[in-house]
Amino acid sequence: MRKPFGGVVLDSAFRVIVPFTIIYGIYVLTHGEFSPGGGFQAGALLAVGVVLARLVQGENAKFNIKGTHAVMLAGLGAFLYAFTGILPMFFGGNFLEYSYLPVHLHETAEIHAFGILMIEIGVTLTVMMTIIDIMDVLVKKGDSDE
Amino acid sequence: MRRISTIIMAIALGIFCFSVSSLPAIGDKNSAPNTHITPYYIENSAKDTGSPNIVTAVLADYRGFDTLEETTVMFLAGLTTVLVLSAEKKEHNTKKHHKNSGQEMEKTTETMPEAAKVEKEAEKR
Repeated sequence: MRKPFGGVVLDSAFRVIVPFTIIYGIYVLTHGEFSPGGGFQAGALLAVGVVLARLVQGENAKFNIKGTHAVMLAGLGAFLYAFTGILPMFFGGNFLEYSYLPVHLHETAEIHAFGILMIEIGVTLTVMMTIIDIMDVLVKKGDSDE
Repeated sequence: MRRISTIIMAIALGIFCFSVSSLPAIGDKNSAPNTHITPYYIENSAKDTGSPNIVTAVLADYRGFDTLEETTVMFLAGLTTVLVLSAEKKEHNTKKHHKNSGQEMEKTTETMPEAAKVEKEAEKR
């Protein structure tokens, strides 16, 4: 897929759809505590933006994440989750016990909310980058088969 | 080998069908989860976790360990997919290489996993 799919229609549709998708993804991520949503859904939505950019604008798309970077970032997301779990252990809590996180917030519930947000970001990164990974490697495979 | 795995899968399917029939009905008020853990979540999740969304509270707080495993499994599955697909591709390229330009080949040998290199060397011997 070295040549992009783009035409006039696709390019303009892309410019309208992708910003909304990404803003909606970030909304779903940050409001996961209050409304339906969360890391998995947000990751899928954010990945759609990158995948569309790759499909419409080709390999030189400005809004693109390469396969190797995506693998690293997916690992980073899983690490962020595990790190949020391990961090309370250094401050006297158990694994994933958010109330022992070293954050200066007044209420325990707020610290819990912060911990939940941290792990949601980790999940989002992993899901998004895994989707981009698989897309990238499939595209490369298609190129080499041609 | 194939026959054994088929037999094992058939047995597992039988056990699955048998155990499904003994599960409590959906929405049964008197089933074990609906009498113990669900009321607790409904009453205490907002106070315990500071999250008004019970689903998120259960997913990320009460069952945080489970979600950690889920994320790890997803990462590993993605990694495995990438490794399997790109390994196949590289083999394809090396066959093609003798006709085509060497530029792509250099790239592939650089990024080739160590295991693949070792295998190649073993084949040569």
